[in-house]
Amino acid sequence: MKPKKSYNPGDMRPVNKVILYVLLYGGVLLFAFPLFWMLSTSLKTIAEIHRVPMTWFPGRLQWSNFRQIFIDAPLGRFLWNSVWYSAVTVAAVVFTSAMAAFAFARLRARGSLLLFGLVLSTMMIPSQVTLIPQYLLFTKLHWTGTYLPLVIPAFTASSFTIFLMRQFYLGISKELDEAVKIDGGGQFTMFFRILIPLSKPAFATAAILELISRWNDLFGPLIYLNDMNKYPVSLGLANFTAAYGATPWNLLMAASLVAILPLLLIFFFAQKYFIQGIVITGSKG
Amino acid sequence: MKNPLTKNRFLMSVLLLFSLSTVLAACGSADDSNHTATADAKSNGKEKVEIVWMMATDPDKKAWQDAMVSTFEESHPNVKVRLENIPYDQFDQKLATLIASGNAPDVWNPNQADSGFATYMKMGALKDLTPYIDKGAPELKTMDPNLLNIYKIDGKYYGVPLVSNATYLYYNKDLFDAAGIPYPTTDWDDKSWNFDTMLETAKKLSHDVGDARKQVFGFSSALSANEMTWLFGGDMFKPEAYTTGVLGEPDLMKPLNIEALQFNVDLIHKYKVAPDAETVAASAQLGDPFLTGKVGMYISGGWGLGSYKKADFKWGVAAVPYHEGRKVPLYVDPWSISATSKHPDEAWEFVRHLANPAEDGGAYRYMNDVGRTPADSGLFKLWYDKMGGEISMDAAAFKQVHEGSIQNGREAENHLIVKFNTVLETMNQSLYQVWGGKESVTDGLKSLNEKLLSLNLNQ
Amino acid sequence: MSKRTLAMKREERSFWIFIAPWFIGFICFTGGPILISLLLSFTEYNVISSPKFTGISNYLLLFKDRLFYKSLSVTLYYTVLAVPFTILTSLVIAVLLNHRIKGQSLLRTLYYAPSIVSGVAVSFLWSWLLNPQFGVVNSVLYDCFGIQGPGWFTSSGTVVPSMVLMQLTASGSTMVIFLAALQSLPADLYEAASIEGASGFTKFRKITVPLISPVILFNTIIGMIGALQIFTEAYVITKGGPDWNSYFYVYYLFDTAFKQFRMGYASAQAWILFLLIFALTLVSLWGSKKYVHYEYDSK
Repeated sequence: MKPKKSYNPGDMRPVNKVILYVLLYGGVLLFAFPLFWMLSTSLKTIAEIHRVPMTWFPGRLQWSNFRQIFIDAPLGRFLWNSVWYSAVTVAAVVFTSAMAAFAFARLRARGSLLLFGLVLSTMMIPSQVTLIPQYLLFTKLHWTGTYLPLVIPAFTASSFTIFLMRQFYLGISKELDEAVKIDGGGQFTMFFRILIPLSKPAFATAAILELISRWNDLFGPLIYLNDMNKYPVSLGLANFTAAYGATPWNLLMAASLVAILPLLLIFFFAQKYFIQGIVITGSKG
Repeated sequence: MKNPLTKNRFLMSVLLLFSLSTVLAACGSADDSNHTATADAKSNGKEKVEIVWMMATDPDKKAWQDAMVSTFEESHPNVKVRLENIPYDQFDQKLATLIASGNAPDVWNPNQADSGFATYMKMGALKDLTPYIDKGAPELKTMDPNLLNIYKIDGKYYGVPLVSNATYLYYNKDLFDAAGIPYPTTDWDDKSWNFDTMLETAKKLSHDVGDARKQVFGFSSALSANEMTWLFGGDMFKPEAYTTGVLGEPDLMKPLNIEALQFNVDLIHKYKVAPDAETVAASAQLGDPFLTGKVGMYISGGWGLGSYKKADFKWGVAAVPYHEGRKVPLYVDPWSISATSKHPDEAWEFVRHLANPAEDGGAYRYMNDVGRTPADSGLFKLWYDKMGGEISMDAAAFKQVHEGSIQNGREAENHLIVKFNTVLETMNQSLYQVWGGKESVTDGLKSLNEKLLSLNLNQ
Repeated sequence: MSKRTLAMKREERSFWIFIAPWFIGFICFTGGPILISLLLSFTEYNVISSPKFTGISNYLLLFKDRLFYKSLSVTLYYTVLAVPFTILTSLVIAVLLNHRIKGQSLLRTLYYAPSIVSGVAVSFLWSWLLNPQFGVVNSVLYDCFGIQGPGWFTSSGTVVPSMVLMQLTASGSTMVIFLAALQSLPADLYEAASIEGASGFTKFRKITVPLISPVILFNTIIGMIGALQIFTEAYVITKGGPDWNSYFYVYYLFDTAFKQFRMGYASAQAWILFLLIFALTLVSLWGSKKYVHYEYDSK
């Protein structure tokens, strides 16, 4: 069916228009303010942040704060851990989920519907239920203290990503399948030659959503990792203040900024694909 | 020409391999234990042995730790020491996890965080060091036997003391000077320095209380509620709790306990010379309350001698005010070896290295470089001189403060009671409303009692 | 046998190869653990000694445990405040953003961006913004209005509302879903309403809300499940205090399992949470039947 003309409220009275602009641009300032304040604090001296009355901008930009945080804590180490850990797990989750999603969307097999029902129902189960047995399993395997308990499960797909990708595959015309079949290609050609190239927005969306949750995750690393040198930036940052008797909020904000910057940068570069993907799949970010 | 079939077959086998490796990685645990066993057999030979030394993260100790590892590896080329640093907040949780999962470190100090020796002793995690000590360890010759005996259970030694932090009253000299009042005494037996006179002093030091930006408090402390009662001769728990390690039924409603807590509440709300719960929580977000320079007198442990070095005001240490039956906590920390250590001999060598009081030995440098109170009496003289100089106090006066604290001290609660980190957390949370002035002392103690009992700590 | 069955067999074999990673993971990390978790919840297990079967005593203990009730009630309190707050703010922003204005796509990005950063860094940030003494919020209140601001995270009464306020900048993720839904609404209904002289607000109430009600329901359920599992904010900012007022359910579970090593008891706690989430989801689905309109299909 052809899409209906979508509703987009157009002309309104000038007064309303002014109110709308004020609300929206004012709201953006409100939303951006915390991040601005993070940046501003990170460039102040410790005396400035305790100054009364407070100042909105740093007097002289203390770029040295950003050098200091790498000296005080193994922040570079934390970042590297986060980068490789996120890269490996995101790639693994997206790829294995894409495989399963393809099977559920395209291949006929007995029990397929039942299995997809299982995928959906596991989305509802809070992770705390499986947490303890998983923890005991990994302890028995002597995997605690390493990244294995965090990385290996990523190779077994994620229900949410399967669901998201399947939605996307369903929207790709089956005529292409027939074309592949006529050319003598099998399911694998179909998956690698047709679906993967066509589903870039879905891959980008799934990858970014997975990246966001991996990068921000505290609970998993908190439970499985021991040595500080292995910490990802989330857990490392949580203990950043341990290095000081008095909390240096300027340095803490500098470290926090460094911790979220990679994520923000990736988002701004990939946002075209990303928002497109979300709109198509109508899924949660 | 490309053959689609072969290509498909290739892709298929790649996928199959991929799936299989997942199976193996995820579920193939069966032969894992054998694998470790053979690895152990190998390392028991003449090959290089690795021992794990676990410490709570502390930048003040970093240089010292690195030096200990490198000097030990130099003198013991067959041993590699792997230092693992765990943040203070997670130390007990992580250590307990490691012990429970059979991955305990070889050498560590069980008292580093809020839980302590009793907890790990109860878990059966500590090795009996008696055979090693009996074989003779010249490093322990000058160790006070009383300290060594703290970690003697049923005639067996389970730890070698490394520090003996006492408790002092730290005071901010700048604030005292500004108020024009003399510094508090260093004599613990001076009965004129009691909680009434302390209150009078605190009143003179306090100003602008209520104005978050300008307020200065005369007094505050880092003591737990239980330790506050010790200062008045009270105790929240039964004596057996400290000897058996089992908390059992608490004994909260003793009149001395109520008197002690009421005094602290009055300091906050009646006399307004101490910060209330919210102010303490807010300033905790900023760091150690004493370091903010807005507290005149502060009762805390001996580690402050090291960590207050970076204060931007002058400070000193004095006696804790006198009260009948007064006791202050002492924090004697030992080095222990894990009961499941695969290389106990090497671990013991390392403990000797850490406990060595000779110049450039572990204990000496811990005192000298980190600034912590030594356990070895051979080092006291040096330490009094060094500390006295650093805080511009007469070495004799400093010695008097320290020895008075030892005489009036008893071993810290967390070292003796099992799972004390949970008890402490429960205590702090439940009494929050009392410090906030929203609940009476007796009501707070009642709710604490209920919470402690519902914790089922003995399970 | 005919060729057709051979092809079907081959397809079925491919199916299993493709879902193998997920299926193995399901057995090892989800399905198996769920069963074990249920079994564990009937035992006493401290990891060191072997589990001891204790029947339903863990569940009986839970119902007598004051901290269980405390953590449950603060978690529900948080959920009841946070979910409507997020739904409302994100819906309002989405509706406003759905108008034709200059810089629409830039605005969309800017509203969305803060929501991708969460967890530890953002917790520290808010803890600093809302610091009672030197935080910018209280400073502005004091300098501009002469008001002594509240204690935010440090006061029993304001700690949960402060954590709800933190969710403001996270509402972007819910906002995009609303936006996607709004963009698929048919124009003809609105045109008809305009002809009848309906005001903007009437159109919103009478047309928009009913049409996107399934999306509202979806966001409510997802938001609720997320809110019931809040942990990081409390772990980083308040450590569960003051006076247990941010000692959320998962925090208690974490302490039980990984501080006290009472794995059986913690498993029972996890199952109660599971049942709670399940029940609340069913109740929302059932209770919203009257208000949610599925009849309009955008396809």
